[in-house]
This record gives sequence, structure tokens and C-alpha cells, in this order.
Amino acid sequence: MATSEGAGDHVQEATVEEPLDLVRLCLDEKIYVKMRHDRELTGTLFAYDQHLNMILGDVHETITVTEVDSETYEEMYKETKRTIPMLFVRGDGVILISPPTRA
Amino acid sequence: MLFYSFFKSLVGKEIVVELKNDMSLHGTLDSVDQYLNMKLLDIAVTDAEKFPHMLAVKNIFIRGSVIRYVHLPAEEVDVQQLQDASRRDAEQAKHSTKTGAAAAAAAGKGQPTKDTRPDQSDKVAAS
Amino acid sequence: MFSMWNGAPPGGGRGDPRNQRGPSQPNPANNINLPSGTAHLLYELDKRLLFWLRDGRTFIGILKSLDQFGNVVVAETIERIYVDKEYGDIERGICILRGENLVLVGEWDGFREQQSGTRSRDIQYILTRQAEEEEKRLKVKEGFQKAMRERGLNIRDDPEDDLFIK
Repeated sequence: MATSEGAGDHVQEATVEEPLDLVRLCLDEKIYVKMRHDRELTGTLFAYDQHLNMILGDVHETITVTEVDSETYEEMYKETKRTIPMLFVRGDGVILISPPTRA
Repeated sequence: MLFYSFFKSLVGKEIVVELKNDMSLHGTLDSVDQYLNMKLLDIAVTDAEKFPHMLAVKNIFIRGSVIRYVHLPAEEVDVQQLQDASRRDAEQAKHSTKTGAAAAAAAGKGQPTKDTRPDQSDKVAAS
Repeated sequence: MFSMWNGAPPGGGRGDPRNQRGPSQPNPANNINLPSGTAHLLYELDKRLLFWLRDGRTFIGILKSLDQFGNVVVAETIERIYVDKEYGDIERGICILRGENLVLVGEWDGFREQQSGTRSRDIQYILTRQAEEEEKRLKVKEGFQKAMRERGLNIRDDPEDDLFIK
């Protein structure tokens, strides 16, 4: 198996040896990020590090809040959406990152 | 150190820091450190009614670990430079993993005690 | 090795209004030469600061000492309890606050306080009001948890209990 040791950028691009390599391949692509506390993001990945801190551009965030009616115990899901042009996301809140939707 | 360098390049710019308790603070970035603790000047709290104790402070120090998001001024961010820096950083992280387990141990933790990689990421800068 | 609490003077060259310490009061920050723009609290020594803790409590006092873990010693401390825009104070004297429990430190600004529209009340009154509010909150939370249990979901990790939970 090819390794990236001592190899140029060309080889670095091609090899996926560890999970973070997959994140590297998402650079400049639109990704989906699931966050703690029922938050979801989509946006273009511009930067990341080994903690999964990230910078995303043109971000759409969806926050889902579950509320329960005190009388009927009925569940209500409230969705709040917003867009943020450029966002730094702290890695400790990240649950999963999904590459651009496959065709 | 990529994001540390990045935030250093944003010193003096206005940002919005969103904390994990849903408080949003708008202010001028004064300083940042390796843990991404930040100092903001002349802050304004959105939804100040919910946080009355913030009404009497102007300049603040925020612990990095309580930050959820930072809203950045898009025009100050050079995305090409960020991508290059991310690739460079990823490469470096790999090499240090092969030479020692420290980087692997630090990965995934919010605040590593030590950065073992050679620091070449200071070239990251916003335009 | 420097850490978050003992970095360099923050951008003193930009006419930083906080550099008002006279030469008779040497600041330990002056002895540490690190890149500018590093976040730390050394310039806040001997100032009245607000300390906001993980559990939501607020302490106000004069910063006397700090270490590399972010532990602080605070003098003339009061714990201030807010219920909406009213507050009550409890004297706490000299305190050591553990660094990991501090989420935010703010410089106390007398002018802003005057403008804030907050009002001091008797501490007993505030404590009663606080208990009422807490009861309300628990009631909502219990209703939610009960409803979730009926659906077979046992929600134990309630983010309300520790807002800064990782």
C-alpha cells in the first residue's frame, strides 16, 4: 500500500489511511455536520484540524428543539433555521461529518 | 496551531462568539491563546435580558472550551490560504504520529497540553 | 511553556486603555515576553472582575492571584444572584476559584452597571424568588422527562443541568 511518507501532494490527495484523510478530501466541498444538542450544519469546508475544529462558509444551520406540552404530554418539534456566511465550529461539539452527497 | 494562528490574524476585527449556553457575544477580538481562549473588547450580548449579569461588563475573557461557534467576518478570511494550511497541517500531524504517539493521544481532546508538531502553520493569515 | 493565563501584553501598542498601571506598580505581565495578542488575565490583577462559573453562579471580586491552571484568588468577593433584573448579594470574603469551573471573566464596568437597569434587593427576597424560579424550571423538566419515559426514552443527560457540558 502506498504511503504518503516523503511523497508529494499528488499522493497525499489520493490516499485515505485514517478517518481524517476523508475530511481532507472534503476541503472546498459542501459537507453536512451533525452537532451535539440537535444541531445540524451544511456548508463549504475551508479549514479543519485534528480536533475537528472547522471553518465553514455559507452555512445553513438547523436547530431542532423538542418540547412537551405540560397538559397533553404531546411532543412538539420546533425547527429553527439560519444562515451564517463564515463560521468557526469548535470540534468538541461535532458528532459526525458527511462528505458531499454522492450522485 | 492552525486555528490559533488564524484567530491571531483576526485580532482587532469584530466577531460574534456563541457559547454552549446559547449566549452570543459581539465584540472586538483583542487576543487569543493556544487553547482558543479569547479576550473580547466592548462586548454586546444578544438577548441580554436572559443574562443580566453580563450587563455590567465591557471587556471579557472567555474560556475556549465553552465556545460553540465563532461567526467570522467573511471578507477577512482568505479561504484558499486556509485550505492550503489545513492540508499542510494534516501532513505534519501524520508525520508526528509516525514518530510518536503523543499527537494521537492529543487528537480528539479539546485542549491538548502540548503540541508536538513542528510549528510551520504560522503562515496562515487572513488577508 | 506558557499557558492561557500568563501570555503577553495584549496589543499594548494599539493605545490599550488598560495600560494605566503606574511605574510604582510593577505588573508581572511585564516580565513575560511573548507574542502580542495572547489572551491572559495578568493585566486584570487588582481589578474588580466578574467571574461566571460553569454552574451559572456569578462572583464579583478583586483578582489577587492566578496560576497556569486558571485557578484564581479573589478578594472582597460577593456572590451575586440575579433573578431577572434584580439581584441579591452574599459576602464570600476571600475565595479560590478552580480554573476549570470558570467559563467567563469580565472586567467590572461601573458605568455599564449604572446603565444596566439592574436593581439591588434584599437577599432573602432574592433567594425566595430564585427558589420559585427553580421550582418552575424543574416542573417543566419533570414533565418532559415523564413524557420521554412514556415513550421508552430515559433522558438523563439533561443539558440544562450543565450548560457547558462537553
